[in-house]
Amino acid sequence: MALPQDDIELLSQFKNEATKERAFTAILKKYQEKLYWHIRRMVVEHEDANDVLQNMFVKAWKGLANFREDSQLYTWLYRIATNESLTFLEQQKKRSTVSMSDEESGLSNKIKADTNFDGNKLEWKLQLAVQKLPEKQKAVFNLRYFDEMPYAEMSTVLETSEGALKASYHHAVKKIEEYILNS
Amino acid sequence: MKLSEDILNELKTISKVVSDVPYLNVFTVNADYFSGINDELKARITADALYGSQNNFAVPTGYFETLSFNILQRIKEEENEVFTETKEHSALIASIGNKNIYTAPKHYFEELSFTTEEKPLAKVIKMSSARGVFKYAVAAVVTGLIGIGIINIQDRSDEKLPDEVSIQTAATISSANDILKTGTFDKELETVSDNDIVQYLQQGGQDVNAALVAASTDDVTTLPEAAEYLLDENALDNYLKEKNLN
Repeated sequence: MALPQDDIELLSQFKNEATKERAFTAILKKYQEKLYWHIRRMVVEHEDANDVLQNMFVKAWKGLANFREDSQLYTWLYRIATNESLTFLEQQKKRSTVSMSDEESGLSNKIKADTNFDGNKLEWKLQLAVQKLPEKQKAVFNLRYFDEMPYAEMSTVLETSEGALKASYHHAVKKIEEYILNS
Repeated sequence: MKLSEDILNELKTISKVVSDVPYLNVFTVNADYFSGINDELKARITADALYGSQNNFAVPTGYFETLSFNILQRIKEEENEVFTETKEHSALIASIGNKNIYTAPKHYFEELSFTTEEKPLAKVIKMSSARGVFKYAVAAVVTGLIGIGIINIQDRSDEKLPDEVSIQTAATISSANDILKTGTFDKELETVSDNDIVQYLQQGGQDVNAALVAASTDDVTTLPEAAEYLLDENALDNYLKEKNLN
């Protein structure tokens, strides 16, 4: 899939030292909200999401000069964001002395601590169910359900075959259904 | 916010329950968050470009700007450690301070090494063992002669001495007095040869060997032990031979 014209222009400007910063600012503005929400749904808390977002953009700054234009800029950014989120969750798990199930409940507790949380509403129940999923499956569900990403692009982001992603998404939905019905 | 038709249809085939869940973003963020994040990110990227790109080890932002201040601060703290400890015991003494009130002579420390390391040693005059024996013998003889001479002069003060003898005696007495006053007896003794001393003693009718044996026996530690005389009848002869007095 060809790069959108505006992305091509931004990448060209980024390679020019005089316009590098301006081009990166434009990329930030274009993708920051989508990437923030993707990260936020993974790590739940705003402060953590902010840290991960900044880290991922710093990495993007370093790697953008070597970006190959045979893939989409936004899938490349999503890949960095997803990897950074998964790394963050892994680090959190290592730092925590509690077990895996407690860690999951830790994320659930963070959701419940949200000022707008309403346990009777389905949308909140769905979020609680998502936090029970394995991390990679959670990423698959979020990318498909909330970001509406095509499997082909998701395959690039997660470096997994489309078939495996479809199966993963199927399992994730079933687990969420089960949680909603039983909660 | 609405789920796209493709995603919704797919979801319906998997789970009717989940597809019926309202498609809402439950999370919120401050309205101005996205407008402010650009500046924050720029600052981080600039700092990273300055310090982070060539070094795998990261330092906190502003670390090098405050490094010199922090080091000086620590030095001051360590300097104040004694003051703080003293103050805990006595605020008065701590307020006096520990300034050194003493001073050393100018260039003292520069010259100190020379004084301790390169001070010339006093000349050592080595005396042979034979000379040591003669020393006491001659000292006794010279003292005796001077004493006798003085007594004779006093006793014969009424006699008229030949001029030549009188002048020679007066010169000897004067010379002896100078030696005694200046304490240069040893030095003067060095100038007298062994032959002159022996010759002088012989002229005076002295038994030179007896005088030497008497002088040597002053050093009791060198004499043979009492038992040695019983075991060996030649003990005394051997001792004298050893001392070169036989």
